[in-house]
Amino acid sequence: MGLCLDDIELSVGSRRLLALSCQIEGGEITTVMGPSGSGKSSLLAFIAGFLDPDFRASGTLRLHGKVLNRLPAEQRRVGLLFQDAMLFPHLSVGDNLRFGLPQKTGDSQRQRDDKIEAALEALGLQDFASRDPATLSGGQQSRVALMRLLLSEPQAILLDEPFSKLDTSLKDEIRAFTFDSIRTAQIPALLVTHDKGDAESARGPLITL
Amino acid sequence: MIPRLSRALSLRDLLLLALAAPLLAGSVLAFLPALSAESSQQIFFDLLDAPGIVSSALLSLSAALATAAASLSIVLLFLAATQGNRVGRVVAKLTAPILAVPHAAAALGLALLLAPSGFLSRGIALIAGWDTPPDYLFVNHPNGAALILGLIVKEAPFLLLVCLAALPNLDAPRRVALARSLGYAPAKAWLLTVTPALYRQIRLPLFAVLVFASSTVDVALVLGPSLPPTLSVRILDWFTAPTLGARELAAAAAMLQLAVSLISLAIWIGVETLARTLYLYAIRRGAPQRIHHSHYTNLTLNGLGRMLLPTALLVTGGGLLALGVASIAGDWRYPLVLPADWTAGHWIAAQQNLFVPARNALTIALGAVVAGMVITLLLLESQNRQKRHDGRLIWLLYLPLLIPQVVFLSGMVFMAEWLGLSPSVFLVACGHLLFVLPYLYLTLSGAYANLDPRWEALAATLGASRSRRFWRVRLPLLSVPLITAAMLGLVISLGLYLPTQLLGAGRVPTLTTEAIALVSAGSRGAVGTWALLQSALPTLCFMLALLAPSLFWKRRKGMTRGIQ
Repeated sequence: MGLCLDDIELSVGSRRLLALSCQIEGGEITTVMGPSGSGKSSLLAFIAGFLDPDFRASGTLRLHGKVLNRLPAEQRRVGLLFQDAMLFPHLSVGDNLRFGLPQKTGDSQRQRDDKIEAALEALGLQDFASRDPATLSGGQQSRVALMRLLLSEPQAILLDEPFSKLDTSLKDEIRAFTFDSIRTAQIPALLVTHDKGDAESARGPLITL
Repeated sequence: MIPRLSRALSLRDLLLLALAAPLLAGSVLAFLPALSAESSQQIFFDLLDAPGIVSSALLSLSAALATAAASLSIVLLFLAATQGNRVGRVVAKLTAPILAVPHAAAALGLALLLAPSGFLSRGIALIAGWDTPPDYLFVNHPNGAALILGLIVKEAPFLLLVCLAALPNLDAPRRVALARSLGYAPAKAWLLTVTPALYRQIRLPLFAVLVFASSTVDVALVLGPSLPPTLSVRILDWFTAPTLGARELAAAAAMLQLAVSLISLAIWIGVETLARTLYLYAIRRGAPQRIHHSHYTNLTLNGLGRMLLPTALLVTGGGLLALGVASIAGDWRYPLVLPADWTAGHWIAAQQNLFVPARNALTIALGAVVAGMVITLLLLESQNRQKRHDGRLIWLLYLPLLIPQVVFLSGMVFMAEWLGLSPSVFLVACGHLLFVLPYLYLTLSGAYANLDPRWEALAATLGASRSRRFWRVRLPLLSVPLITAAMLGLVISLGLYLPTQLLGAGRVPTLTTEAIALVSAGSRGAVGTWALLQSALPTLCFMLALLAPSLFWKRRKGMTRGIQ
């Protein structure tokens, strides 16, 4: 179970970028480290379903036993966290959280609103639902972005150097918050980073390319 | 077989071909009356016998070359002399609203400004003590000087905006710094190091300027000579004349027009080669000695650069002012700079005839822009989904700017007649669509390509389907460039004269056709009123393009960041 990468190989033209196999259980954060150009970002794009057509990939991706390779990105239930919070600038904070909320039958508008309100409260951002995301501080934006991801109920999470643009003072706090949330939700996660500190606090297996 | 065909010719290619089809067919059909006549040779002899036909052709050719050369020089000198300093930025900001003024209105304003009893002459009279208008001809002079001036004051601002869009990618400050460290003065350093790279990017718009200037009708009707007029005006005259054989003559003249436009392009390309040689010669002569720093050259370059373009803008602005004064002038005897009394009569008279032309103009512009927007988004989205580049056929979209309007439009009129389509607002809007599309595509393709691909990836990982990603993410994120492009499209459509006149067969009046119709018959006051009415809607569109984004996204600061 969990996220299973089976004999994954990525190449551009005749150049092989990387080859790896690994198994990530729920709540486990596996770290991939490597120099620029080693194919870390392409690996994430491959798992999420956005690999550039110039790349070739082989191997099998499994998430809770289901093969992902041929599924479109929106059906994989693999969430992404980027260097930037990337809150949609045209939506309010509440609508950003609502964007990924799965549409379940029998879920009333009221229940959905309550869910958003509860999520904001958990972040210490009560009454922020109608706010413009551009008025939030950097730390608040990161937290909302993570909450948006968790509310979309992903079955795996990919982290693309998500803390590299944060101030040192914020970094530890946001990192701890992110990793704790992933462990609590028991979601398998793959972290790509340059920062040894990230790998250490992930407390999971380390793959060096 | 079928999959291979679909790869060779995608839906997107088919759409482009369908758009170009009426245009290409029109270009061929335009010649048909001449070629299918009983003795087609005779028609070409008749054309050559038409009085002053050679002067007409030469006039069109010289107008094209002079306009392009002068506009390009003015813009390059301006950019070299200001190099993005404060003056440069202020002038660049003033350029955009001037560009919103339609060609016809700008030409009418220029005519009022420079006529023997115009503003300029009255100003001189005040100082020199004249009491009768001087006896000179500038507007409508056979040498076409007024026509060329009227074209330059519109085309130079256009080229400036094209250049300003291309410059950020050229790293001009570093090129200039390098050349200056080798001993070149700033303006010369810019001209020598930035121009070659910039020129490559503005070549297509420059060709469009050449073709437009060689075949303009509305500016030529207002400012050009009348005996003989430019070739394009003569084609329009013959085309609409009820006499037997006039259409055949028009068709033969259309072939001549196409030849004139092509010759102007050929000469231009020849001059390009010459300029390249001179450029290399200048470079190989080596850097100037620091001691004889050519002070005079530098001063001249800087002076001309700072003066010419603002003068061009000022002329159009002054023309608008002249139109405004004329529209409310009552008694205005010659040496008086301002009228002795004022009247609202022209505006009241215009009010009664305003509704239909204004409604037509708006319907046509909105129809063309909405259809153009849908087509542009279809083209861009299909390209985005297939992760492909522009493709081989995209140049078809730019054809309406590279074939003389009067040529393919007259052919399209034949086609419409043959298909039994009667002149209507719909037919005119279809014609306008062809002219709006290249600008919409040009404005939006950059915005589309520059949108961070992570937005799409992010939305997909949050479970959004393709259509939800398009409607809820891509379109809102691009709303600001979409608004800008739509307004630009409206401005272009509202200013178009020839497509309206030909496809509407004179039965679809718009503000533009009404303003031009007054040139020969109307009073100064009526011309002023209608030219201002014609400019009003495009100016409004322009202001909306500036204001709409920040009003629309008042509560979303992230949407308008970086625009200002």
